[in-house]
Amino acid sequence: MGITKSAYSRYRIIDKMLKNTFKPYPTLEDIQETCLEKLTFSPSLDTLEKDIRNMKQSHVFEAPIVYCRKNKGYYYTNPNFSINSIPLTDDDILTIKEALDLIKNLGGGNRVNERFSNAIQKILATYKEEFPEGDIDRKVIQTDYVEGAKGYENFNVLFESCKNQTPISFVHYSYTKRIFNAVIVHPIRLKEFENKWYLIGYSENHKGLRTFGLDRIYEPILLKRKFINWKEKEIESYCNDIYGVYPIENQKKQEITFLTSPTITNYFEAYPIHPSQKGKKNESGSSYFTINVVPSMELIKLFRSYGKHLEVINPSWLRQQTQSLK
Amino acid sequence: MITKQKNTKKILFQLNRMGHSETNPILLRMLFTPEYTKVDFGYTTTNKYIKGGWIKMAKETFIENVATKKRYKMIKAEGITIAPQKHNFQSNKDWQYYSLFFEPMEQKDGVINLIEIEKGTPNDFNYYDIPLNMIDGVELL
Repeated sequence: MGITKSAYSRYRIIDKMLKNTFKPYPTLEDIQETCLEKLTFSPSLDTLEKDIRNMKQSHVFEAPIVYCRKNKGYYYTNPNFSINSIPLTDDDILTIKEALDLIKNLGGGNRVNERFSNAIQKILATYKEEFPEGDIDRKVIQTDYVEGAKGYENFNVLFESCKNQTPISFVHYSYTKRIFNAVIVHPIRLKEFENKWYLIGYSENHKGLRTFGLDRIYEPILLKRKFINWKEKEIESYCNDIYGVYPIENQKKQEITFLTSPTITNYFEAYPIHPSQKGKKNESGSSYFTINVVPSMELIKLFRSYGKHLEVINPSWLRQQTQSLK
Repeated sequence: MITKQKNTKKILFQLNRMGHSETNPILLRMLFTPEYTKVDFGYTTTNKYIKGGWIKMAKETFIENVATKKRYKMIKAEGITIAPQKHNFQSNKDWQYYSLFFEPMEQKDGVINLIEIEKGTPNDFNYYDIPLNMIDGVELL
């Protein structure tokens, strides 16, 4: 559970009082009085007692607070402890702010597991200390993520199965073939492409590497079964030697050459579509580009989307496929 | 009341098996647990009905052990309605994943039938002579 703004304000006061060597062992009444001074309201003693308990038990702080019977007040058993003791520079905090913005945009709650949430909360605690109130929710980075997209409910279990190399069974529905299939997959990694998530793994049913859209996966179940470690080289090639996610069957990695009009050349230069992309600009501003990839459905879709501004030169089969709509 | 069997493991069978009619849903998986037996299905609508028609399950649906004739009652359905209520589709390109839960079954080799309506028509979701060999099952983590 997150820490509310008002609770965090009280935690800060408690922390400062426990750190104050001039007036050690504050009582609940002392804390109540200081809260009234600093926050212009007086929390009940029960609330403050609960605050101390939360600071002690919370995964965020794990504060070593103890009540001293002799001195009749509270103290930190570790005098170096502070809830603000996370050593972050201003630059660190700025970077975290950007990362937080990205995380929020990328996934919604489901995608961020509890442990990660706790870590973020810890950072947020310091972050709130450093930044003025009201600036926290101001959005400065926006991605394409739309709340309500299907398949994210299984993200965590699929992530764990990839991380721990646990085979899984799930039901897959193919949009194009309109068939259901129960499959056993040895998951390798999760991949995002154009704001859609995919699971890549070795499929026992297909006896090879396959890609499954998360939106078409139903009820993944972890299995007690020996994990099949597929050839690393083949995995790297399957995942990286491609633009997109779905390789065209029976096509090998090959050099693809295409010509772009001066209008779109700048985009390809600014945002290469693959690490292997190389360009040779013509005097007119048009450019020949080459990429070395396994052709994919997404590549054909991309080429077609540029209409007359993009012409595939080689290979001829791809030239034919991309010309059919022009 | 669900009676507990001696089974302690959870065993999954990947079946991908069609019913007695080609318009039946595909029987995808069967999961044996000490508490219940879960069967997963996938249904795709066809051009046969306007807007894909509808689906529902008879509440008397049961699993039958072919050899012993022992029956296991359906106890719950998820993703499909129990008759007379219908799950209506919106188009003849829709699909539905659903699961039926039955009383727990013994984890032994055998052949089963899954029957919605006894001596039913092709419109009823009946599955006959499904072999289940424990060696083909996969234990859950």
